[in-house]
Amino acid sequence: MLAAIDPRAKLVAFLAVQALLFIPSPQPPLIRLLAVALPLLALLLLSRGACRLWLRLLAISAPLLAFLALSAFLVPAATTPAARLGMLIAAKAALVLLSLALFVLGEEPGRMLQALRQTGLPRAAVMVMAIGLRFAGQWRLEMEGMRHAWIGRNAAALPLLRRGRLAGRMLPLFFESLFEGAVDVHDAMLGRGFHGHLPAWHRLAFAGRDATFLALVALFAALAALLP
Amino acid sequence: MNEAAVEIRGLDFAYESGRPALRAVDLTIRRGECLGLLGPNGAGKSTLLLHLNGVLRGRGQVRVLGMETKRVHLKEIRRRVGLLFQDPRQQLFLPTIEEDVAFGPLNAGWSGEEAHRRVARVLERFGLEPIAATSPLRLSTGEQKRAALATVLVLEPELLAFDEPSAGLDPAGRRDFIEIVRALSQTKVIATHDMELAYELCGRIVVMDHGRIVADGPRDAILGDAGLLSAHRLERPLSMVLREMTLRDA
Repeated sequence: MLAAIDPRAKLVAFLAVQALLFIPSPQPPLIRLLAVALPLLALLLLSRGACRLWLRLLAISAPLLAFLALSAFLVPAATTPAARLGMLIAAKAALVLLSLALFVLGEEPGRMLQALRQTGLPRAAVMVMAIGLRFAGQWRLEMEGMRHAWIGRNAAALPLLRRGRLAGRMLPLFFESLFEGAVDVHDAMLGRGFHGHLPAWHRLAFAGRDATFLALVALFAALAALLP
Repeated sequence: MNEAAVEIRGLDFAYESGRPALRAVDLTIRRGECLGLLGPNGAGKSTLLLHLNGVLRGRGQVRVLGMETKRVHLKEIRRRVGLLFQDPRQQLFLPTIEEDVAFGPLNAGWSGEEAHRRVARVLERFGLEPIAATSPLRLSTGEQKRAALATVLVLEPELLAFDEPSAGLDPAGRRDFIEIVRALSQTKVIATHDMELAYELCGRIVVMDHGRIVADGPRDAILGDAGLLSAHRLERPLSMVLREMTLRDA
């Protein structure tokens, strides 16, 4: 269901969640957290892809979440008990990741870039993001090449010291190859008439369902903010 | 037909490392011609191709389709010269095949409607419609090559420059690719190590080595000269040798 929603509407939803989570309010933090979490979890039930993405994000960010939770113990003379504060920080971080999975990372990158372009973000910023996206693909290709080279030389069977030396030799080659790949991509862009900006292809059109989605976001945000 | 599509005079080019890649290259390519550019690795073939649409600009004169490769003409030259890179993954850089094919037309300033029409036609011609919304990085090499060719042909260029077009293709993919290229009526320059491909497609062969043109002539004369080819780390195409043997036996 969420896949069909205009990415601009999803960006608004994402920002609304961040505002509810981080703008100070007189509400008890637990109430505010629950008011944000319940609609998000309900949306999660409707989107299996986002659920998998959230779990992956949680797994990747587990050390960071643990660090954030433990950092509560470093706050001197906090008004809230450290254990409770730690739990709140970790829960907020988990909800940020959940909103990212639901509204941002689950979206097709091309549509998201188009949305940013249409919301008036400077062309240069969108261009940098698009190049970053392509560079991430290049990074993946080069990593794959490194993995093949590593396996092809049976490097895992080498003694630790020689393995370290081999990795040390491969690293400069990796970066050299990565940047050569980037130069080739740039040449290919120039070769097809690139002159500084990415032209728009499918312009996004705001539909009735997007307006309904935004109205629901506004309703839930208002309810969350007004809860006693 | 004899009008020059490309005229290169005294072209020198060195990369930033100082390594000279092209030395005093003189070359004329007539319109409608299919020219095979042969040579060992590092001979300067790819560097020369990159000069044809101004991606690189060395010292000397390069005229392409009547225009010098100067900044003022680059936009027009890049619209009219299609360059196909050796590694199709480097040629495809947008999130979907469809967007990638549309990149050139939109940069050339075509209207959205016209671009959509041409993109749809090219996707259909190359059988890419079912994978139009797929990321180029998820395709097989054969599909990537076809997609890369589609990104170039959508602009209906007058001059096509291919860098190792058959590299990485399986035999059927290679055959498909040869047939597609054979059917194109444009002026073609094909830099390759694939002697069979050059023998099948090209009427004229230029051999490069160490950045210089060392031989230039009709296909049969150049590919029939085993000594010349061997001196530049090349081999005669097997099908040509077999044809000659059959003729001799007959």
